[in-house]
Amino acid sequence: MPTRPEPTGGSATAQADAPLVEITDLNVHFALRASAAARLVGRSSGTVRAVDGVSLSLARGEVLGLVGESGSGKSTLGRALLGLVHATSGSIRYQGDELTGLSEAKLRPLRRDLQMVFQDPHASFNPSMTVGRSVADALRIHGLAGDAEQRRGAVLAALERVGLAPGERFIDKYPAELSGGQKQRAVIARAIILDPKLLVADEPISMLDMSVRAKILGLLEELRDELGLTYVYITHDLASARFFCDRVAIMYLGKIVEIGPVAEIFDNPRHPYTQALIKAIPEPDPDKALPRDLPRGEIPDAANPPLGCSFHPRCPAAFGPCGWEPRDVRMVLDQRWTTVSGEQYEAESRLVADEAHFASDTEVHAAGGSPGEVLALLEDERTSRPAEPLWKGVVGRTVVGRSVQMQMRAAVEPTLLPVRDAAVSVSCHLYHPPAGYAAGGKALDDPRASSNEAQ
Amino acid sequence: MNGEHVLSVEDMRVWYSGPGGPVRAVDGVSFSLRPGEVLGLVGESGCGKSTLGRGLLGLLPRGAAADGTLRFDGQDVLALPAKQREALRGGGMGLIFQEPMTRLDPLMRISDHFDEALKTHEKSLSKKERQTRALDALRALGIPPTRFRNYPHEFSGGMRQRIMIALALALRPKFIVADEPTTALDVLVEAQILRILADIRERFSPAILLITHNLGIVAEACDHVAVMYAGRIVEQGPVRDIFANPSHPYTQALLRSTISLKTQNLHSIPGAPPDLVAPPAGCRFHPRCEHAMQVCPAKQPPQFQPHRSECWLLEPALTGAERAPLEREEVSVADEA
Repeated sequence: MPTRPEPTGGSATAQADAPLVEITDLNVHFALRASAAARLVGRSSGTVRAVDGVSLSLARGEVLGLVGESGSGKSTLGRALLGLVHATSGSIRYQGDELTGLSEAKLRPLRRDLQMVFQDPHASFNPSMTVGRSVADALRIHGLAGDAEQRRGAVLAALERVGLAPGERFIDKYPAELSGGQKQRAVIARAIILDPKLLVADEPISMLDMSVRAKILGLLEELRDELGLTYVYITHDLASARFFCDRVAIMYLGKIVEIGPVAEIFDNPRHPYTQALIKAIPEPDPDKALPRDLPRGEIPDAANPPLGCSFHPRCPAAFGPCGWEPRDVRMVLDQRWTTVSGEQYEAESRLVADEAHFASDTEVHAAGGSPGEVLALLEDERTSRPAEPLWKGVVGRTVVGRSVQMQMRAAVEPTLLPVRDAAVSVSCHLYHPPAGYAAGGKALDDPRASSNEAQ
Repeated sequence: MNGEHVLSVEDMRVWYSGPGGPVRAVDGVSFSLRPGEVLGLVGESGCGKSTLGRGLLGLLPRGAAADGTLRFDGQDVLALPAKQREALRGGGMGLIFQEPMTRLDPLMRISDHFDEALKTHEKSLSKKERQTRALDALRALGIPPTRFRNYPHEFSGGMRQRIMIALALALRPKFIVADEPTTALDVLVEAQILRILADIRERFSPAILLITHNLGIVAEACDHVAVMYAGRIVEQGPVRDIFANPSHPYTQALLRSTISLKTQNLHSIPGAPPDLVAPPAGCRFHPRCEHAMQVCPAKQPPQFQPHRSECWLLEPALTGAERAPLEREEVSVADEA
């Protein structure tokens, strides 16, 4: 490994026990581009909150896992850490230095310390550059390792460090001549040649074959021990996160829903989403079957996130304050119609007006039938599936004109708070019930609840 | 489950032309499937598992050829003229593709996809019957009928995969090849799709060849498993037996290298899969095998029961010379996949 001179002054004086990186209330929002016509009439196109109020800190030498499904914001958070996407607001401090709002020129010297390993090794290299040139590029850009010969020596050392030995065999090859695993090793060589402090590894093994994954994960582990690296390991694969990470943050729709030491997260998952993720992993054990009660649906549209807790429409344990809204009624009806006969669907769907009326309203409009018939349909659904969590959020149904108005319990957005007697923080009303609810979800003093719930 | 095989494959070979000579992607593969049975076909990338799936359906690209015996529903399929073979697809044999995001026509409504498939394969159905059939299939996969007239882009990845499965099922095939049906999906959606496959087995009992690289999916969804290495099935049998007592060193290594929630130490397989233009002599796994003996590169191992394992370790009557450990070159990390 090339050793570079210690940076003088400033950040080098930071205390050893201070966090390496401190993220506070970070937001990364992307504006959606509306169609030309919509822009002409001035219709707003909305924003996607890819990272939505995330705070966390990274200790020196630790491996923090960012785990979540696609669309959870885990990759955006990793990129924001390196300044590859701009933070909308909030702060990222690296050894005390603020990274957000820095110009590219000011950020560049810091990038020597902050490097990234990308997911797809086949797309991480310029196909017309030799591996050696690609790896040396990092040195060139940062003006290190002066002449060509020194640079070649540094590249050879880095290649051999990641297992591509003898380096001479690989330095003049083109990416297409390497296998997937070899390419990923070369990507790692390029990341460590600058002797970084922090490595953000975005799904580094997910594109590789099973027999190769273990090797690359083993290499990352070796490098941590030998170079004292701190990692942010971004993955959707919980099994490798459990093996590799010290701490894990579970992300859902831009937010951290649970964070804690790896053993605590896996042995005693608290958030219903974490519980579902862990149960849903198909284990190579024929005696272990997947549960029947999987969360329904998929991660929702980030441009139009659910009210309250983003997970509530899928959550089997959701209750009153979780954020029930009329479009959830639509979801429940859609679900009902996958179980009834074609004739019954035809008859029932005629009663209710189409989707557009659900998203914006608190009302379920009657279309082909009377409001009374709509009310009867909803009542039939409620009695035939009483376990449906939605009904815990519905406190009343009244007929107003041609439509049925649903009164929902007020939504309370959960916040990430520490759990008592554990090193874990979780963002869920089950653990931190809002005012008016007991632990476990019982409404305490809502007068509407007692009078209307029986309706 | 009755005793009749829906599909039986004997000594199937598929090869296609490559720059260095013919690539023997599938090289002498035999297995059979009963109605309602799910066979998991596992192996690393490039072992020929997808090619085998395509070869069974007659969907090989131009320049590829297949040989051997493929009996489906009492017919010798490879001997049939192309027209008759084509007629077998859809209603007889179905395919679920790997990438749901790219397999639906973006300009066609979901209803049109079903209409086209049913019109092509079952000409006797009326329009009304076609719609009923389509809606039934979608309902079985949890797609609400309210979405029937939507376009593919209005669905998420998981929903599109459900639609792909429904499209295959609407034709009520007896045999389905599912090629990595959950690979591009998130863990919760993958689990939903695996549950649906289990329901489908109970309701329609098609025979399914499930191609995957994920041993967790095999354990979850399959009755039998066939482990493929360099164009050959090296071990096959009931999932429980094979997972509990793998007899081929490759199966053992594959099981060991899988990272699961129980993983304490990392294991990997040394070396890389061979070039299928000129695969190693004898047992193809011998250059990477920790138990390799003198006999291994010399002769192709026969199949040993109970798992039809192609491994000389299972032969009790080897001479001392044959049993002597093979001097192996040290595999450097750099030669790995």
